[in-house]
Amino acid sequence: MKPLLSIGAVAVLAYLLQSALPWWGCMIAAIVVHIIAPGRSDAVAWLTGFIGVAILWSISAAVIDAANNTLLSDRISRLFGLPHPALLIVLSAIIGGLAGGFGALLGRSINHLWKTGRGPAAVTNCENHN
Amino acid sequence: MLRFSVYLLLCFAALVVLETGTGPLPPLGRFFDPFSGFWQNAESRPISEPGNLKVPGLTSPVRVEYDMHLIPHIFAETEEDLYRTVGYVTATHRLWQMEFQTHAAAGRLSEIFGERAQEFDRLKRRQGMLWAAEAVAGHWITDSATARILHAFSDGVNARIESLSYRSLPLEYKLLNYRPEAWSPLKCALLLKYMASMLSLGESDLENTNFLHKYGAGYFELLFPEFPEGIDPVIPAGTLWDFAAAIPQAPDGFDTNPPYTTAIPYTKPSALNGSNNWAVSGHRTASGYPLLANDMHLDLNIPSIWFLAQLQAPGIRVFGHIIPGVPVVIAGHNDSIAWGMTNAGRDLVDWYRIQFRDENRLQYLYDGQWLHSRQVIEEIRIRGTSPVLDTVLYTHHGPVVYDEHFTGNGEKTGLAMKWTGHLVSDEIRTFLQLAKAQNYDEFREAISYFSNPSQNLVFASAGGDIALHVQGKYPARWPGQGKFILPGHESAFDWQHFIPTEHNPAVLNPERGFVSSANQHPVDQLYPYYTYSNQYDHFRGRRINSRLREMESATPQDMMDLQLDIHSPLAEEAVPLMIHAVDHHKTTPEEIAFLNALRDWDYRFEAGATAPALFNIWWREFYRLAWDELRSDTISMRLPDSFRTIQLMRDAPELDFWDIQSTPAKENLTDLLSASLDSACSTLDAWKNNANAALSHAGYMRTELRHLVPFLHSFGFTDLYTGGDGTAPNAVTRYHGPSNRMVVALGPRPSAWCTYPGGQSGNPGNPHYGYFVPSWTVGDYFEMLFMTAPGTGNPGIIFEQTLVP
Repeated sequence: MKPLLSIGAVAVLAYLLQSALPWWGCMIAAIVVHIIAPGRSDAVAWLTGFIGVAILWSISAAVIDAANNTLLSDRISRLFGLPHPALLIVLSAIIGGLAGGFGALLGRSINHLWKTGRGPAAVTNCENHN
Repeated sequence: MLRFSVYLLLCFAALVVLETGTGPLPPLGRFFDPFSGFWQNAESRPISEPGNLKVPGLTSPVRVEYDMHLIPHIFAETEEDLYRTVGYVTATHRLWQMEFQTHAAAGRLSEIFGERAQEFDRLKRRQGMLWAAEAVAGHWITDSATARILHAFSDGVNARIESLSYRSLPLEYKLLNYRPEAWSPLKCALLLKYMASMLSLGESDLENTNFLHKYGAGYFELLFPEFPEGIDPVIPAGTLWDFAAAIPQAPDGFDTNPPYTTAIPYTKPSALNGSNNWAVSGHRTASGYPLLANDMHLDLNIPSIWFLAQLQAPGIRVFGHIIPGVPVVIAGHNDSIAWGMTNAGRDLVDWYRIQFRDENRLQYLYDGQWLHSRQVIEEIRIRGTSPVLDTVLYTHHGPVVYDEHFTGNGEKTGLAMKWTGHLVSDEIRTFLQLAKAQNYDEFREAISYFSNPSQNLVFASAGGDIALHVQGKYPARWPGQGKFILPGHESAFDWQHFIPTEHNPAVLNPERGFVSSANQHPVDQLYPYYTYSNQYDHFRGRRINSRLREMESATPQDMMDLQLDIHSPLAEEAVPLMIHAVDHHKTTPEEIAFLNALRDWDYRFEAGATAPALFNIWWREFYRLAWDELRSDTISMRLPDSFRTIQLMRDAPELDFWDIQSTPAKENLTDLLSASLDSACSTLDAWKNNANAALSHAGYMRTELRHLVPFLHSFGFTDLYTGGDGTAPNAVTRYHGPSNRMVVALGPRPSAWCTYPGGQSGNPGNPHYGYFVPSWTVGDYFEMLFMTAPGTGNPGIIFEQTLVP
């Protein structure tokens, strides 16, 4: 699957899961997407997992922040010693992104495990595609 | 397989790290998640509640209408539904604060903050706060009316708590990483004790004892006279009393030179805790109906201790200030009457020296016998580590607070605390009845249940009465009893009986046409009972009374102007004295300019003026150097108040105490003033070097509204540009000031004007969090809505909600 599609899939699935699951639903989303579409390499998988969640979290946070006129982000950023409230959006994106990145790696490795379980030929095919 | 295992491990590690808080940080994954973390507390509107809501336990629908200030107007069909809704509504806006303050009262802050709160918690256990609250809560079970109401209230709070998921938790729970627990009437009692401790634990009996021991009775009388000249008591001077006072006899052999104590007294509540209140009779108002005013002075904290609300059910229609967690109006009005409170100083704590039989401390001496002490093992749970146990010993006097295990400094005998706050009392009943009271007699009946702390209760009625009652449960003492540590081994020194309520000082419709109180002496020396306190104020009351005496045809605006009055009698009396007595031969040009600025001053503490800042700098230096003898690391002593200090400056310029300890020379008053002026100028220079604006009173004072958790520093409001001083009616200082301002105009339909430093919403992410702060800072008020029925389409209402069973 093209990386952009993976990113989109992670973001959408994470968004759907968030109403039912706590924050780590985003990790589940990244895992699931990358079981199905593991990506060309670990590095790419990590990136698509990371970016997918980061985009979702940063946009969601930014929308909330704007509607709130940065009232709360101003106070929280000062509390954490950050020079600008927008850094909180960045921080949220990074934290969610990390969960997404590791989830993607796990998903990809599950996909690999499943494929190797189907015999060496499947692995060769898999590696040829990669 | 290897990759799978590694990545599985990595995911788990990430989960664990982001799900657990480390040190001061909250769990990062949870906290930063935009869908359930702190972002969810960033509200776009003042209120985002559903228009229809099920609240279990209600018997019929309740209507809640929020006005533009986010003040809820609650209309219920039964009392229980009303108080259940009060619980739900206050928990909606102020849950974290309510619970946090009960944890503080109960000595459970270590559960939230870990080891650094341990000593604070130990103190609360030793002060018997939970013990006192349990006694009060136990009493409520026997008073079924109060019990029903408090249970309904608790159920309402719990209904709100149970509806909360992580997403909807108040912000501080997410930051500090804990969850609310269930509410109960015991927590209401804890909150009452919390307030009572803020208002009645400022005594200084230990400090008095140490001073007496070191300097003797002569100096004690000189520096701390019980009735200095020039007081203007709450009950007008010259009032005669027509009852027979029963005063216990002082036992023989009362030790006039008691040993000192090395116990380090616990941090006292702010000495500035107090308030102003007054009422003006219809004879002196423009409307012909009484006016009443009350502003209560506390630490400037946010969320505010006050939550405004209107409550209506059959038989009740009341508006006023509620403490979140206690469902009664403390200061406010209904259709017929208005009431308010100020702290009435009185020594409500006595310390008894306990002689234990041996190191086991299982028995103590009393009237020649060995009584058993009651050992209570207090378990203090500490976040992040194992609980700490502290054994608190209870004697019949009360808990032993200071002993060798608690700031005793080797104190082997132990000091037990007897506090009127430990007694069973029924303040809730007072306020429940006040809400329904229609006249003076019903007011008197209601306040007869009020025991602790000691309060000046002001009253006004549409019927035309004004009154002021000094109310509390006071031990009848012989003169001098309780001012120093008492021997705990002889019953003659115990409290023998209490002053009957009918003998408490009170005044109704005085000739002068107004009643007022500002924490000053309640009475003059004609009153037969002993009324000692270490903290009577001498400035605000005099200023308030002098203004009230001049008023004819007073209007609500006149009341507001008086609450905002910034003229200080301290400055008026100290400045001429200080300028006169300082040595003018020694003054530098800088000091001359300093003095000239003060000469031109009108003694008003205006925000933008320079002179008030200069005065405060000089007065503080002077006061610090004057009483340097009394500051010691090992022995705590009391310092004379500013009022007495000025009198001593005037009458005793050669007093030994004017000497400055750190110099070899022996200074008199003139030398001391010159030295303090010099030091003041240095302080001023240092300030100027760091400042980026010209000196102004507000700029120097830097008034600040602090969050209840001080290290959440960005949740407060800093550098509020306001005038005022602790010695003027508008008693604003850096961290302390009027926690509310209320003016009520009685009449066919009552009106009220209010403001307070804070907002109805306790959520720092809510647009209304600091809603009233700007108006409070500049001295504006909002006229309050007092509705007679719901659903009238009032334009002031921004949101309507129906709670259904």
